[in-house]
Amino acid sequence: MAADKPVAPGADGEDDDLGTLRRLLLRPEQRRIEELGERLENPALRARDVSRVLPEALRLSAKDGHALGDALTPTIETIIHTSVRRDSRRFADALFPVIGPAIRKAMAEALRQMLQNLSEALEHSFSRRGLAWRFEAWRSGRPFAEVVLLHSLEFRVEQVFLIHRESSVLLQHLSAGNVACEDAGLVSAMLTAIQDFVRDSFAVADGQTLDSIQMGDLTVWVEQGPEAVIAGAIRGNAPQALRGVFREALETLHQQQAEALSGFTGDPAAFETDEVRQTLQQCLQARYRDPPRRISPLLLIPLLALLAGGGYWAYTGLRERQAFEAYLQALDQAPGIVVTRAGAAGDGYRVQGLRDPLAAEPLSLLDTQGPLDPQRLDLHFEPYQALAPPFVLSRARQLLQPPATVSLTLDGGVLRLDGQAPGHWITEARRLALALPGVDSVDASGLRDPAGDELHALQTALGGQVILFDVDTARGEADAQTLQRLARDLRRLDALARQQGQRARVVLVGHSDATGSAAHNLMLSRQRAEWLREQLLARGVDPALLTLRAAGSSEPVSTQDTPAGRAQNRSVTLEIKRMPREEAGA
Amino acid sequence: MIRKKICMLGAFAVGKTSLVERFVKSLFNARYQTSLGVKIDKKPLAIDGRLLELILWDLAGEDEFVSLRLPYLRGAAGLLLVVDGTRPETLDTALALRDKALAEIGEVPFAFLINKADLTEGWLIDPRDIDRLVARGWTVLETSAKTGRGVEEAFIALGKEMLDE
Ligand SMILES: Nc1nc2c(ncn2[C@@H]2O[C@H](COP(=O)(O)OP(=O)(O)O)[C@@H](O)[C@H]2O)c(=O)[nH]1
Ligand SMILES: [Mg+2]
Repeated sequence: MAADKPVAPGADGEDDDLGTLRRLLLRPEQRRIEELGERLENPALRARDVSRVLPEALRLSAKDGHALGDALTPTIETIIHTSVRRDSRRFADALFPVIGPAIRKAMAEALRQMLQNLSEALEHSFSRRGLAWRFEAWRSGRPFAEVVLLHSLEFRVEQVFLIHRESSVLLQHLSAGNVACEDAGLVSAMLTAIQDFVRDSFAVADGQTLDSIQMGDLTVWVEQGPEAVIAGAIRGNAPQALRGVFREALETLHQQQAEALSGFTGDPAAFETDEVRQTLQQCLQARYRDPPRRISPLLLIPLLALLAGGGYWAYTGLRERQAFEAYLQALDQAPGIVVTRAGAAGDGYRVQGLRDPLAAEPLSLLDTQGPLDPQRLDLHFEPYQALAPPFVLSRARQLLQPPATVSLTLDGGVLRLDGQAPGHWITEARRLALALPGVDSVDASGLRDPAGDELHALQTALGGQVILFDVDTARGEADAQTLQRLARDLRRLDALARQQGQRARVVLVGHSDATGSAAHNLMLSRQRAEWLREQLLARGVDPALLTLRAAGSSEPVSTQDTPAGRAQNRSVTLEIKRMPREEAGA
Repeated sequence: MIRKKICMLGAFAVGKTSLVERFVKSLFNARYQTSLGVKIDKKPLAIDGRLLELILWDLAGEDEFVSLRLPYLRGAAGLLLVVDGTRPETLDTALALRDKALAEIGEVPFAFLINKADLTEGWLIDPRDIDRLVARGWTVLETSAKTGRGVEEAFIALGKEMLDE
């Protein structure tokens, strides 16, 4: 050590005594001075010294005033800011025990208002139970929600939100009892914000998320998937098994909606499907305990009214179902109607089947006085052709249009026609009937055609008529009665032919005997035919029926060699022709 | 209907909350914003016959000490960058926030709102700075949350851009 170092013999030279004395007298002091110098120059030592007095100095300074505090503030602020910036999480960790509860309280308060809206909306669900509890809440002056909890609710998932994870946009929202929640879109965003906040502020481990938020008697469960989040607002104490339901629904949605989720750009329409709603619906579970044991007598009145209403409803429902069964039976028994499917649908009934257009009108089979309202029936019948004999016969009648005198019978595929009918109908019917489904052959042997028969007879009779004339005259010998009969027969011929769908043509052929010149005879024969025409027209025969032909002596009716024969040849004969209607018109 | 999330960004007291309140009839008490760092509102709009529901995230601002909570930007389809016309430095904040936000969530439509347009005599912002934003092809609108001027137009302009995306 420097203080112990012997003084060099030759340092002070000759002036030894004074030097020696000084050394002897001042040695201890000199050593102290050297020591002090050392302490002042050596930082390590100085720091140790200051540290010994600093606490006391601060205490003293605080007692005297704020000078030290004021002086230190800027530095400390800088230090804190730097520290926060460098590692805010550590700072949050440090502050958490103090600030955490305060923040949560503030959050809860702010969110209570929001959830109050939700619960108010829910409270408007008018279940029978809800009405009774509402009444009790009013009576007891307790909040409705409390009454509900007190009574039977174990838990109920009141709202389910399907949220797009990335954007926190609401994709779909369901609520128990179909309560509309206008602000579901907001709630979903806020739930996401709260989660972000918690993750960011309270140093939760990576990948871990807030999956349950407690707010009053509502618990919000959040189930996270890679693309979407399901959040459920639950009243009461939900069993842990419900978690599994949420998770399953979320997985299903990820599978079903994989494309819609990954390509989502803000249009939730893709999630407005029954499929999505049905999947989410599984989350809307509820469990009730047994209903309250004691019921206030006052409550009984509305409850009984409701029960009576419910009973009536159930009774009318039963009667209606019975009527429907009876109607189905009637339909099934009706020929030409086949019921293929039937059952309750929507709030009515649906019947599907086949119906022959000739079958009874389905609604006509319903008992209109009965309990089943036709308005609630949804009937769908496809047309078809029934092959049961009544339908084959109905269709045969429709197609053949038989006269009233004809009867139709079906015998194992053979259509039998019996009775009287015009010949043309008979021909037509034989042809058409074979085209009918269910008809293999036609038996028309039982059909008669009296008009046709008469026509035939008339034609033969008229064809043999000879109107005679005297020698060289064009005036017939026939009396008025004969002419009258002839005219009547011709009119009948005309009518019968028309009935048969034909036209008759009568040619009046004039003849002469062979005496005299051929030219004269020709003229004479013509005049005779003309005379007869005059007579017939005067007796009402249609002029269109008659045509004339002068045969002279070239087509003698009898021999020209005897007087009797020649008398026969001075005559007019009738040629009868029948032709189809069209040809006649041409 | 289309739902889009948009974020209000800007320095402290530029008027973000006031603008949202002007635009939306707020349903909920906003006390939670101080603690949560965000206030959320929604506003339905009809743009060219299409229904658009804006979910507005009013983020507590970026300041020396309050840093933006980046997770809140996630999924935003548009940004409104609010500047206080009486405080030129808030334009720098808005520009910085734009860079930060776009880096976080990718390119989305945005618009600058120069707010407090009713205080024009107190405007200290250099018009050339605004011109520079316009020159970059960005949407810049003057608004006043106090008088309501330009507020509706601003939200609709951004909504339109998002729908056209
Ligand atoms: N004169 C005027 N004052 C405004 C306007 N917008 C906001 N303010 C005021 O600016 C202050 C901060 O507004 P606030 O909306 O809380 O700002 P934020 O921090 O960006 O949300 C409030 O005192 C408002 O009243 C405006 O357009 N004109
Ligand atoms: Mg604000």
